[in-house]
This record gives sequence, C-alpha cells and structure tokens, in this order.
Amino acid sequence: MNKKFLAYQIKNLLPMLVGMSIVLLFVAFLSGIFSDVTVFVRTGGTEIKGSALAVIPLVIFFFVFLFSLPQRVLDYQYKRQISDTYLQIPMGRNALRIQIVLVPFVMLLIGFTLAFWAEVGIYASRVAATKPYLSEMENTAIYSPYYLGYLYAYLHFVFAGFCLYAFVACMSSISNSARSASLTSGLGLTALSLAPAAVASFFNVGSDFYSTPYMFSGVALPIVMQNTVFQNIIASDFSGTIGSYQLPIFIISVVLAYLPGILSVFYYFFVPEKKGELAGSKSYCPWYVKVPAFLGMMMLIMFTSPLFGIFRLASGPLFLVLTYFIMAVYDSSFKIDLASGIMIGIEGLVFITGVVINRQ
Amino acid sequence: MIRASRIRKNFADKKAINNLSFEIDDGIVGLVGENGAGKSTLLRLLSGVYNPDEGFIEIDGISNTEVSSKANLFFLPDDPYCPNGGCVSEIFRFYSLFYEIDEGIFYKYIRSFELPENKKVSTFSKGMRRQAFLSLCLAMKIKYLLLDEAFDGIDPLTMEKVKKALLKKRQSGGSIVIASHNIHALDGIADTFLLLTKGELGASGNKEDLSANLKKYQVLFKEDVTKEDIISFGLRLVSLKKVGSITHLIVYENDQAIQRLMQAKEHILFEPIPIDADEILALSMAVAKEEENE
Repeated sequence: MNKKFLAYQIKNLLPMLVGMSIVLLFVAFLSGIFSDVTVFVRTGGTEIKGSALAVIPLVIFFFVFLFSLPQRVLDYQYKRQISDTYLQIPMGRNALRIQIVLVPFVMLLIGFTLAFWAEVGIYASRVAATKPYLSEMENTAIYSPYYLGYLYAYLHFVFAGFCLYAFVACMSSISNSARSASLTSGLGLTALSLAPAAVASFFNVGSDFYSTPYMFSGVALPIVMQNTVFQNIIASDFSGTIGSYQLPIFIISVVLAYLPGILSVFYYFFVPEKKGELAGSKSYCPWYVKVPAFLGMMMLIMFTSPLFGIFRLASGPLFLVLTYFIMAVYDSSFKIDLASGIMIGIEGLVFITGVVINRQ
Repeated sequence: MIRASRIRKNFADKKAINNLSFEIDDGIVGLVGENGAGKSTLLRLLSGVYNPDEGFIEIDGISNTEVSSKANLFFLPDDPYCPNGGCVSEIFRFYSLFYEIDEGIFYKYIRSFELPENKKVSTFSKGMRRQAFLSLCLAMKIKYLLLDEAFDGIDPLTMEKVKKALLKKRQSGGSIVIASHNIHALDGIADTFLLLTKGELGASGNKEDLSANLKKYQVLFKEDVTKEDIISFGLRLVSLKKVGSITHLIVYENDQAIQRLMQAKEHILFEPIPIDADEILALSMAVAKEEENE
C-alpha cells in the first residue's frame, strides 16, 4: 500500500464521506428518538410483544451510499485522461484496486458504525427511562440478550453491506463509463432482487409469498426477514416463527444476496480483463453480463405473468422494450448490435409462447 | 534499455499493434507515423497502461509491469490529468506521491515558461498545459520518459526552450521517446527514429540510415518528363516535384538507371542534392507504407 497515496485519498474523500456520515447520524438520531420503546419481555409465561429499534431506515441509507460509492471512486476506469495516469503509476494493479475500493468502504463503515451504535445508545437511554415500569420483570434480564441482538444485527448489516459493495464494485469495474457502470450495477441488483420471486414462482413455493412485500426485497430480503429472527433473539425465544414457506425463501435469498458479493471479490481481483483500457471508448458490456441479463429477463417474462394478473399481457412487451433501451444505452446508439437483437427476438418468442400456452 | 518483443495489441477487431519488436537505447528517439499508425498505443504499452495481448516488454531486463520498472518510467499522454482541477502546485503534489521529483527544477521551468502559479491549470491554453506537464517531466528523477505529442500547441519560441531542456535531460542518461507529427521539431534533437505504419515497424535508425538507399536530384529538363517516363528506365521513384522549371526527383539509388535517363532525356542541369531532414522522415513513411501495401 502506498501510504502517501492513502493519505491523499483520505483527504480527498473526507468531505463526501463526512457528509454521508452526517446523514447517517441524522437518520440514526430520528430513528432512535421515534422508535417505539416497548420491548419484548417475558414474565411468568406471559409474553408481551412489542417492537424493537427501527434500524432499517439507517441500513437503507447505508446501502444507498454503498451503491453509489464504487462508481465514484472507480472513475479512473471511465475517463481516458485519468486511466492513463492511474494505470501507469508504480503500484501493482491489484494493490491499486484494493486501495481505491476498500478505503472509501472503511471510511463509510466508520460513519455507519458510529451512527448505528449512537442510535442504539439513544434507544437504550429511552428504554432505561421506562425501567420503573419494568420492575416486575427484572429477572427476565432483557438487556444483555437485547443488545447482543443488536450486535448480531450490526455484524449482519456490515456483512450484507460488504457483499453489496463488492458486487457493485465488480459491476462498476466491468464497465468503461459512468453510464454503463450505473446501468450494469442497477441491472445486477434488479436481477438479484427479482431472483427470489422468480425462483419461488418456478418452484411454486407458497402462494402467500406473492402477497408479501418480501418478493421484491431481493438483496435486502435476508435483512427484512431477519427482523423476525431479531425479534426472537430479543425475546430470548429461538423457536422459529418463520413460516414453513418462508424458510426456503429465506435460505434462497441469503444465497442469492450474498454469494454474488463473495464471488465478486474473486472476480474483481483474479479475472484478467481490459479494465481501464477501454476508458473513453464506446460503452462496453461483456457477454457474460449480457447473457445472464437476457436470461434473467426471459425468466421474468416466464414467471412473473401470474403476478400481474390482468396486466400479464403487458408485462412481456414492457420487458422487451426495456431490454431494447438498455442495450441501446450500452451500444450508445438506437441501432443495437446483432447479438442484442437476436436475444430480444428470443425473448419475444418466449413471450408469444407463454401467451399461446396461457390461452390454451 | 527498453526492449519490446513481438508485441501485439488488438481492440475489438482492429489490430492496433502487430508483431512489433525493437530496442531503445539511451538517447532521444523520435516515434513517427501517420495518423492511426499506433504511436499512442505503443507508448501506452511501454508504460504499462495497456497490457499486450502477446509478447513482452522489458525495462532494463525487468518486465514493465513490475513496480520497480514503473517507478523508473513516466508516460505523458497528449491530454494529461490534473487532479482536482488545481494549480501547478497540485500537479506537483499529486505526481510526487508516486515519483521522485525535484521541486526546484519544476518551478524553475514553470517560471522559465512564464506560467501563472496561482491560476487553475484547467484555465490554461493547450500549449500552457503542455508546458506545465513538460516542466514536471523534466524535473522527474527517472530514466525513461515517454512523451506523446510533446510539442503540440507550443509556440516556436518556447519550442526552442523545450528542445534545449530535453537535450539537457538526455545528458543525464536514459531514454526519451517522443511521438510527434511535427517532424521538423524532432529534427535536431532525435538521435534515432522509429517509423510506425499500421501498427508495424516500417523503419528504424538515424537519418543517415533512413536515407541510405535514397538519392535526390535536381534536374532542368528541356522537355516534359512524366512519372511513367522515369519508371520506364528502371528507376524506383519515391517522389517527383516540380518547382518552377526545376524537377526534384527522389529515387532509390540506381546509378546505372539514372545515367540511362539522363542520356535519353535532354537536360540543362543535373546535380545530386541532399535530402532535407523532414523529407527523410516523410519519405521513409511513404516508402514503409508502400512496402506494407505490397
């Protein structure tokens, strides 16, 4: 690691990351102040259910910032002028990539950590203020497992955030322009978000699934569903309240949410690619992004038609048009290349086949 | 020494550099070629910005991808990067994170070129930006400099200062490779030349090497003489120009054929004359292109 460059990096990133941290602290403050202080307690077999600290708003902001950071710091791959400088400096390519990508993550993590535990601290002080009302339940020892639950949640959020960041950094590093980086990252996350719904639809796992907000949670699904687990930890009750249909979805979503992030770390560092060499030239989308994206679109056309009910006939053409515009952005022209055209054609055939089968 | 062996570089379906091998010793090397010949691509390959698809590049026997090699080489592109859009001091501060740069020499050249120190580099003209970055290059304590269009946008008066500074830098050893369209600017400072044509090495050497097989004559013919007439005598014609009544012709050396031509065509004046420096390079490029097309 180049220490002088590290100091320069920190100095340059500080204003932006301090700004992000202030936003996180503000959200944490509001959440800490307005969260319901009724907690899970158990006394003499009686269970009073309440709600825990609302950390989800803070996590949402954290994830949004994590999504935007890689495209900001990897801009040396998007401009010819900057890539000429960064790719020739006396640093190993991987060392440069680690330093450029990891430093902002660590800086934002510091901000998130401060915000998270500040929120817990605010909440804890409010809970302590209600203590006179809890005197009958002193033997439930609600505090230590309660805050262990937050430690579990914190570590989970950090791990989930790292996987998200690694995935977006990988998508951003494949791209050679800010536009295609945003698009590739967005497409990737959309695919991850919709994958649980598509997979569940394929295996027809639980009709209740479609009526829940879980179906589009995607990469956030493990976190949304962990709320249930979290509640159990707080109440020192580990009997699963996850419904029988929810557990497979939870497992699928954990794998779909975290595995791409872990694999992205390996791809980012170990797969040789023309990273940065195509800066400034036509938008670049390698085939191994295009093909899964098209396969994903096809899956959506096949499996989401039941969800749209009366609108199922509209969903197919909508996805076709969307696919065309996405490829037009990558090709920087409304005249898309032959490969993209063939894939859209195949999607169209799949849609028509689905309509014909449905009518029968 | 910079050594490149059988390097190839493709972009999509275009062969940018094709099977290129050469060695660059100490001194100033002029890298010339037509537009799209691959000069900038070659400089990016040498500096490690691009990795070759095939072949290898070594700097003093070590691969150019090693950190120790990169620390001894600097590539100045045609559009250099000034971080944060700051002043000349920001350029110095940023690049000194990675390279050893003599601050005194840097500011000496900045003042010699009369560049404002408190204005943002983004407000400089093209030539002023070029001068600011050349000041940086001249102050770097490195062995190898690769300059892409070093003289682009620089006025003739400043160009003389730049040439003097480059010649002075050469004395401290190492190599300076300058890619330029301005052949006239390279004349007088380049020790050797590398000619690129369509990604391949057309020719290399000093001016005498490049013009070794070429002869230039000025002739005052009594009658009209065409290209076809000259070729019919077995001469390989490189250039035929008329300046008033005088015909300047440049041919591949062939004493017997030129004598036959002179015996056949009546003339008043016939004498060999030296070939101009920029003519040598332009002709060498034309010859290389012709051979490549064959």
